[in-house]
Amino acid sequence: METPDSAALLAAARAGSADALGTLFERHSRRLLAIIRLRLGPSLRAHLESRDVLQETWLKALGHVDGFRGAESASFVAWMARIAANEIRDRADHHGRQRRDAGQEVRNADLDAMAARLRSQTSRIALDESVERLERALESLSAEHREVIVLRKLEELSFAEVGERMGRSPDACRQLLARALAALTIAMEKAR
Amino acid sequence: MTADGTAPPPSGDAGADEGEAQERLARYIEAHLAGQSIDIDRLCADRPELTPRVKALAAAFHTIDGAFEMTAAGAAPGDVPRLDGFRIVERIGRGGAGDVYKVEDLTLGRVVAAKVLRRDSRLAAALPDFLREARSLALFDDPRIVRLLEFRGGEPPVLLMEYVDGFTLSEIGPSLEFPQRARVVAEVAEALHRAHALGLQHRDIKPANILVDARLQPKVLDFGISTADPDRGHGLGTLGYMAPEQLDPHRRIDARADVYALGVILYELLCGVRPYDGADAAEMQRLIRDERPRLPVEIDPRVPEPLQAIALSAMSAEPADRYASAHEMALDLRRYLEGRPVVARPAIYRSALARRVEPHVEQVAEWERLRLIYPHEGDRLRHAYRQLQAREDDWIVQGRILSFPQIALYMGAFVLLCSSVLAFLAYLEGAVHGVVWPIVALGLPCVALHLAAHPLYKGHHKAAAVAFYLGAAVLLPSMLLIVFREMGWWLAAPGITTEMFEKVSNRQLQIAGAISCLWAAILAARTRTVALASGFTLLLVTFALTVLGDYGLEQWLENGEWDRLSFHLLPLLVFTAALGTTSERRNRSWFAEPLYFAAGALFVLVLELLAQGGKQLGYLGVTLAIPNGPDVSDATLLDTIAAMTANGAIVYVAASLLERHGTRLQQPVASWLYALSPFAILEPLAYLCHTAEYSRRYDWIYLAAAVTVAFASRFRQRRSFYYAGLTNTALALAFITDHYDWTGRPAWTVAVVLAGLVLLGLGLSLDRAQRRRRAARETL
Repeated sequence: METPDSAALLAAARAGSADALGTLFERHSRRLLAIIRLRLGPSLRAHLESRDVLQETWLKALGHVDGFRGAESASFVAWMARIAANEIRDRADHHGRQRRDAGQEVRNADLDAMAARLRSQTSRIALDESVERLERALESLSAEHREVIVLRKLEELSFAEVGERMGRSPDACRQLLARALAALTIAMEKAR
Repeated sequence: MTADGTAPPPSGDAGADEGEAQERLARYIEAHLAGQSIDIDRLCADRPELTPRVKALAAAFHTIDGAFEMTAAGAAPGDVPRLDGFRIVERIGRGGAGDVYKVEDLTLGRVVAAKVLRRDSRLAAALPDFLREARSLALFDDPRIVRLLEFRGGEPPVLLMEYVDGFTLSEIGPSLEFPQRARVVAEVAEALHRAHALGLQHRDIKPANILVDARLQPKVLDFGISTADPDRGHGLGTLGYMAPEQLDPHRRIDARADVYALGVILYELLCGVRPYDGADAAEMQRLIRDERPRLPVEIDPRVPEPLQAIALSAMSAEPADRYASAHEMALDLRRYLEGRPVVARPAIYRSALARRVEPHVEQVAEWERLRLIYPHEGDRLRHAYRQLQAREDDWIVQGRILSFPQIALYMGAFVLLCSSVLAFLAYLEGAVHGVVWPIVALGLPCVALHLAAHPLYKGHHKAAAVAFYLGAAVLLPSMLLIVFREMGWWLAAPGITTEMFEKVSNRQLQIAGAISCLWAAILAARTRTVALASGFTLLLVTFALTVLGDYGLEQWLENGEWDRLSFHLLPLLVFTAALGTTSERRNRSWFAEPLYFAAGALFVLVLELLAQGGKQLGYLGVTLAIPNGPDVSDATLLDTIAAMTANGAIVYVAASLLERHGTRLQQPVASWLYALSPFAILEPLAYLCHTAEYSRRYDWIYLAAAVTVAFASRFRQRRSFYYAGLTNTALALAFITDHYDWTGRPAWTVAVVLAGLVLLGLGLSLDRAQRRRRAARETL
């Protein structure tokens, strides 16, 4: 139900609807920011500003509205996460001299207007303590457990898609997720 | 899901058991992920001491899991709100700005629904929207809209609403009978109309937002993105139920977007599938914007047609084609439920038919190309198909169906025309005086009809509105004339000899005619109907005749100066033809059609008037008059008849030219001229034979002409020629019998029998010749 809405919103945002962009942003930004922070990990987080990555991800998404149709998954967040992952890789490769020109290519006049809106919205996302606690709990898990939770619960991929990315059968993924969530529950409790 | 684990029990287990508890938790979670529910007591049957710990962990897990789901990650488990005095049973839904929980009111012991503003929504200034929803809901006191019990402006803000124990319409819809489905949608439409009346559009109405309780009473939920601002909210909502204008930020959104969504809901309820099913969002948007849905009866033949019509009307792409309000849609649904005819007539029926007809028309061209059918058959088929594309609510002459309402409506308009003429005659007789009478008898009905036609036209009674307008338009000229006369406006100047009537002056006639003509043109342009365009054409011709009055129309009629009249009608002929062509070029076919017919009729009239009195041949310097025939009363009769017969041939030539080179809308006129021409050729001869003076000499010519015309029907495949030939042959035989007084002569009867036999023999030999030719061609 949510997926086509996001796609519609994306197209409407691209066509100039500020409302659509606002809603879309509101709906997914916190989750994306969480994914980006997890993907960066503690070491890269020290060098790269996750909000910059998030903002750039949105701009790229708006520049490639049609790309979502061609994406392999129906999950909008997963698609955005892919864009974010590429952005992180680009930045990590050149970290120190941030590469902006890739994003620049797809921009035009109305994207600039959107960039301004996005900047102000991005700065308003507050990371409260509870989010940081979840983030810390997730980072205390094994890489495998963290990955399966991110893919399934944050990027909202299907078990089949998760299996494809992790090289396991869907059933094995479900088992893994169950263990990962159990571990997360314990970790959260410890942190409390 | 365990409902008893909201308060974590004290954890007092040893660390060694912790691993075992985590293992059980993983099993519990795995079952939960597979969609199964597992009893923790049974799960821990072998280690009962672990049960409280696993239950606590399971509760903690659900909180974390719920936090993932509902607050779009990053959010902490603490996001499940704490509501003083309430126990949260479970999360039951997720709206635009908040999550909905089923909660138990611990004080009153009742179950209510709590909508809690989501944490991430608070970032993007959603609070005003949340408050607005609260205020909107507070406005309603409608059993079909979920009731607001309380608003708590704490942190987070909470809306407490009545809890509806039922299923969503999407779940229960397929198991309902058609009338039940119609009733549910009618109730929802009425509820939405209430909201619209309070200045609120739902903008996200869909089966998932409609709960149906055990008594099939629907309740509308989630006014989360509702607004009344026509310039906001584009792209919000659920794509499958969004109207085309919601996808385009440049278009304004009004209450009819909700009507559209109701149409989609009804459509889906009727045939089980959504009208548009795109592989992805971009395709969905394209489908909603450009495509037309399949007819529900195509998908499920059991779908009642009236309900299909209602659904399709409501979901017309153009807001103007939809019901003007949700209330009107509800009324139409009620009509269906009460067994009365519904008023919906979806615009899509016409385009759906047109789309289906198109391949047939192409087929006809293909058959023609393959020589399977003759060109005249192709023409006839194309004409028949074109008839299907006529507007169903068009006036009776063109309508696809004859119905009692149509018959009554246009008869009413016609009787008003008669009354208009009668009123004028009564006035000329001096039966009435003063301005009050015409204003009361003609003016009031005229105004009343206009006033009544306006809402009818805006609503769904276009056919009635057109007839009303027509009736009103024909009353106008008589009333104007009488008023002009009584007020003493534009009286005839003394000493003018060209006045046609004693009572009214030419100027009065012209001004009344011009006003009526202009008004009819405005009405025709507004309604885009042939009916009013025909009224306009009729008034135009009348107006032209009153103008001719200034040039001496009355003298021409009195002195038989038909040629003058004929010449003076020429400008009108040119004008109507030119106006018709212009209208057709500008795609105003409804305007062009009657004008073309008028031009065709004027063409025939001009020719025939010119023929009168032998003038036509006279201009050519020819005469057939016998110099000294004392027994002839009208010396020019022969010339007249000859000219008229020739004119019949001219009409025929004009028809064939028009058929070959004319536009699509000129074709009916060509057919009409074709049908007319054989009679135009033969009937003057019949008249000539009828007058005793010339009879004997021309009876045989008449007979020969009739037979010739019958045979000529072959050349352009015109049946009218054949029928004209047959009837005139009979008439010619009757004249001959009468004039020679052969009634009692058996020889004459035998001669006619022989003639019939000869014709049969001729037919046989012609047929054999044809077969021989064909056989010879085949052997070649």
